[in-house]
Amino acid sequence: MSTKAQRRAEAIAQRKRAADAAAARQRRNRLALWGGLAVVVVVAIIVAVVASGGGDSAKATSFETHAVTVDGTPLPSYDATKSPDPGVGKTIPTLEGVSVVNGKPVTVKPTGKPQMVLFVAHWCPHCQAEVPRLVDLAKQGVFDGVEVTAVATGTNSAYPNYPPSAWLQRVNWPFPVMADSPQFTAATAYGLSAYPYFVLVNPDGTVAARATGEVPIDQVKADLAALKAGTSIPLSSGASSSAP
Amino acid sequence: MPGVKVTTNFFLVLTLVADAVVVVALVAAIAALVSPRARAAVVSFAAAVAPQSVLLAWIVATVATLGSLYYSEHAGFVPCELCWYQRIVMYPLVIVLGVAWLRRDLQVWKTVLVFVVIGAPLSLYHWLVERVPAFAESSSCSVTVPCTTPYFEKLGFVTLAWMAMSGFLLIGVLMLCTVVGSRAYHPVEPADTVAA
Repeated sequence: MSTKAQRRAEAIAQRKRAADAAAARQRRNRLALWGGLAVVVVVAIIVAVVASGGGDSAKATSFETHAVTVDGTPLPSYDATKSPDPGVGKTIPTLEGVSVVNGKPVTVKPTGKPQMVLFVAHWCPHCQAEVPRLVDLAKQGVFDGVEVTAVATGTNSAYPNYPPSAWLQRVNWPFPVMADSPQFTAATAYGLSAYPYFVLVNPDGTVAARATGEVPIDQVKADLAALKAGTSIPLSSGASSSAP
Repeated sequence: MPGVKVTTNFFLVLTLVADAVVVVALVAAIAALVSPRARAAVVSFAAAVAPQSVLLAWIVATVATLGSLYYSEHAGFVPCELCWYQRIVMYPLVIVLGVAWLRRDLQVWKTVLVFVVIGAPLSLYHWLVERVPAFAESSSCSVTVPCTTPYFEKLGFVTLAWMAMSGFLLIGVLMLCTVVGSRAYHPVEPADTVAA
């Protein structure tokens, strides 16, 4: 065999060896990649099963949602952009339901005293921010002389911070809490359009003001003072509903 | 069908792995800018991953899509408006990457990175809307499906929006591996060589 032919054969063999080595390297890489992926999936399954076995979140009562009876004309839906609020001056419908905490009857109706009805949803971050502030105000006596009732509405066990009874007890909410129905009967009857939803009620049972969203503390104080004094309430403008 | 808690923990682990890969890729990319040795290592790693990267990216997009459908169709988590926008960007990637893998099309990164560049910031924005009140448009929660409220939050930061962002970023990293890796295998030839 000539030297030229030998060199050619050697070059071909060298190329074949290089191709084999590259193929082997690719096989190794592929194996490592898919092996790594398989390990990740197996670990994810194990962690998912193990981590899901332990203690669950707070226990729900049997009254997180409950039928609510409405007596009276429903209030028009609240629209923060409408001024004046067409709901102001309308008589509140009577709500009869039960407490989310213990199932005892809770009623919202004209009582001859100023009232505040607060609709909250356990999963709503603005409700979660507002409620502790209202609890602080209650400790300061700002609600003295005002009957306060909360309505736990929008309740959904798939959403965060469930159940509402545990949340409101955890933040030491001092007032009765009515459970709304799964169809949000109470919220609909009061014209709720967003959470949290405030309805201030005059002693004669007519709506004094309504607002949605986080209401600044000073505004709440001013509104309650006006409600107790029977004067015009700043909330009726609805301006607070979009204020941060 | 597995329960929501088990499924969420499963996706949580996958998300953390995706996040780890993205962070390592970011650090490696920065190191590659300043160190030739790091650059060589990055190119070598990308070259190793490149042949599988389209398939891996397709798996990521498919898992994200199936997860999203599981939560909406099985768990009953109704998607909010921003969730829908993210779906609009993620779902087509299953088809785009699947077809590219079947055709062995390594140029698909040009299309996929457009989706990533739209999807990842969108998911980040949604995550910020969930967490930072200043990003939310109002101080109240919508009665329908609010974008401000995550259905769950794990480890204090992982929500569905975060999971989507991790998916988009991982797909982005895999596509960059395709770019860097295939160039290592097939360096761009000078024009006259190609013409010859």
